Amino acid sequence: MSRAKLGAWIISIVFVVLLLFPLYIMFKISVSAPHDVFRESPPYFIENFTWQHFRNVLASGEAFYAPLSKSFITAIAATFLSLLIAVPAAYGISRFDVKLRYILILIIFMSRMVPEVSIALPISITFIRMGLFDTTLGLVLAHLIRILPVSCFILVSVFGEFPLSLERQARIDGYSRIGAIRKVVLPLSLTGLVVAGLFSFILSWDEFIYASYLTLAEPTMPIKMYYYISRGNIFSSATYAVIITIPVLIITFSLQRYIKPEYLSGSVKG
Amino acid sequence: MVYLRLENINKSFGSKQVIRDFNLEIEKEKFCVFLGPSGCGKSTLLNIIAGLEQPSSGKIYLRGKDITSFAPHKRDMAMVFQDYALYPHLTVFENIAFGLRVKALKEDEIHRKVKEVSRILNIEDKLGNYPRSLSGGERQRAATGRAIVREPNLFLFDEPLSNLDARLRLELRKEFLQLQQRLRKTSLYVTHDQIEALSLGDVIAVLKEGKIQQVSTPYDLYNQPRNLFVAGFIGTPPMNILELVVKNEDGEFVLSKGNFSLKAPPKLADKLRKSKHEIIFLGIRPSALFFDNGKNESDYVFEGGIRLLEMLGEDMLAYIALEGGVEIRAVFSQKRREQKGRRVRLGVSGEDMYFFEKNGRRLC
Ligand SMILES: Nc1ncnc2c1ncn2[C@@H]1O[C@H](COP(=O)(O)OP(=O)(O)O)[C@@H](O)[C@H]1O
Ligand SMILES: [Mg+2]
Repeated sequence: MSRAKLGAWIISIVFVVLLLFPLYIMFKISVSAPHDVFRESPPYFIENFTWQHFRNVLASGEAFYAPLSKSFITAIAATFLSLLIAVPAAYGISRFDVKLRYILILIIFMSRMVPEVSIALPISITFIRMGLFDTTLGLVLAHLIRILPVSCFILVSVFGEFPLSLERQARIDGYSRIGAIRKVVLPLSLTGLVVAGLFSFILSWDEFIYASYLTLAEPTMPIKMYYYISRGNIFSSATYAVIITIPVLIITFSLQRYIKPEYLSGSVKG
Repeated sequence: MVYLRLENINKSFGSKQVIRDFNLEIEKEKFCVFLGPSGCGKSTLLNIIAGLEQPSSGKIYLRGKDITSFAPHKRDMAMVFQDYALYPHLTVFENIAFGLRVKALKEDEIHRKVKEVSRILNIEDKLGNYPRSLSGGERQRAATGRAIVREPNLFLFDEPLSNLDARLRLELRKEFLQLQQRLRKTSLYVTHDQIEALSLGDVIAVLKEGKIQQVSTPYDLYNQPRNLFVAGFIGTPPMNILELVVKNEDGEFVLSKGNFSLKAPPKLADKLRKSKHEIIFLGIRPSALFFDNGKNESDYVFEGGIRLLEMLGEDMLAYIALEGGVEIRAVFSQKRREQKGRRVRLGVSGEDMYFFEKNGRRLC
């Protein structure tokens, strides 16, 4: 192994360790016996392994399953709606010339320049009036504020890089414009759609601020976790944190096979 | 019979006008080539005919029917793009069958047609392959197959051979020629390669900055260029163009540049008597110049020294310095074994001289 390569390896490992260490601590607490945590200098390794905290959380019944299903339904609905809105929007934007495209993207991102805390309260007041407060639909709509700019941004570059001649070929071969988009552009942009969907899901799944202003009787998982943190129950909050992380990991890994850059190779140019 | 008619087509992108007052009529079963330098609007024109772009103004008629507002899929034309645009997720078979499936043809009919086309194009053994595993030439054939299998109203080809290397281009050019003779389908073929245009076209339309310069058969285009642009664009090495001042010396017209001068040939003298010109351009093809050993009956003789020599293969290209700082290109057989610095006498017949007005229009 060359020295440059060795150096690259060392730097990568340092980064990975730095990134994973907090996650490890979180996981460690969720499976450690209390006396391993509450002592002068807690060990770095898991000494007394236990599933007890998980059992406690799972045994809490509705208090656990209600937020779990609320979070899932919200994230899935937000993902679906975000794609439904962002796909046509991004396709349209991607067909403008590059300069205009850039300006439009900037305008869309403007909605994210306002701190979420500062608009969450007005939104919650408006939602109370509209009867959307503490409803899944209301939360989904609020989540779209933070999701849409990101999913639009991803999809604009996806469609912008899609070979125009391939779409035109489909229209020549007998499809209307909409037909060409449905039968050729979208299937061949699957990678990009998956990435955009994945981001949408995660942005909704771990969202905290809107959820804290817009829910009351039906909290989401992050809110529930915060509830334990604020009460000082670090074992339950660590366990919740682990449970919140699991779907993200599963989704990321199971969708990895769609994220392959060579998907379009061979179609254009010699 | 006029098959396709383009009437006053204009196209602008923003403030930039790309196609200007384009008028053209194409006969049935003719292979028509649009030839022009890159960026002159050839692809835009083809896209307009296919319906992929809307003209800013003007009309398109197919068999006498106005199709200007028709969507591409309502025009039933086939197009081969410069980059082939093969569907990467489909095999060669499915790529070729794509248009037939959209039309919902029966499965056995699709099979029969795809098999036949792939046999003509010699890609039968590649039908199961995906585009990424094909060579450049095979991709080109697959794209062509996808076009001809549909038996469309009109074929549109956008520089289909420009992404291939020289040898393959030559081979596929011949195949195109054979295919055209076999199918006899009305086709529009876009290229910036004059040799491709001359060898394939029944009719060639030369374009410059979105305007038609000349529409002719290959033979006329080469021998009777209508203006300076066409004269300079067609032919390799390009035609010699000399800018000359016209002087009337006792009723005889003399053309000169510095010390270099020649008498106007009779056909030009007639024209000069009818209308006044101070400056004209003289064009002579490098291959029209020949070595004058005194015995030939050259109408004109130029003397000068060989300044540079380029070997082109069977031919040699010489840059010859004449009097008055005038330099001309001449092409001759490499068998002569000419040397740099040698003085030569070049003859040319009056017939091989082209004269153009100052604005570029052909005078005679
Ligand atoms: N969609 C477009 N928007 C703006 N300008 C364009 C567009 N398409 C083509 N052009 C411009 O029109 C001119 C002609 O382009 P094109 O038809 O592709 O030329 P060619 O095929 O002869 O090389 C070029 O200068 C190009 O930059
Ligand atoms: Mg082009």
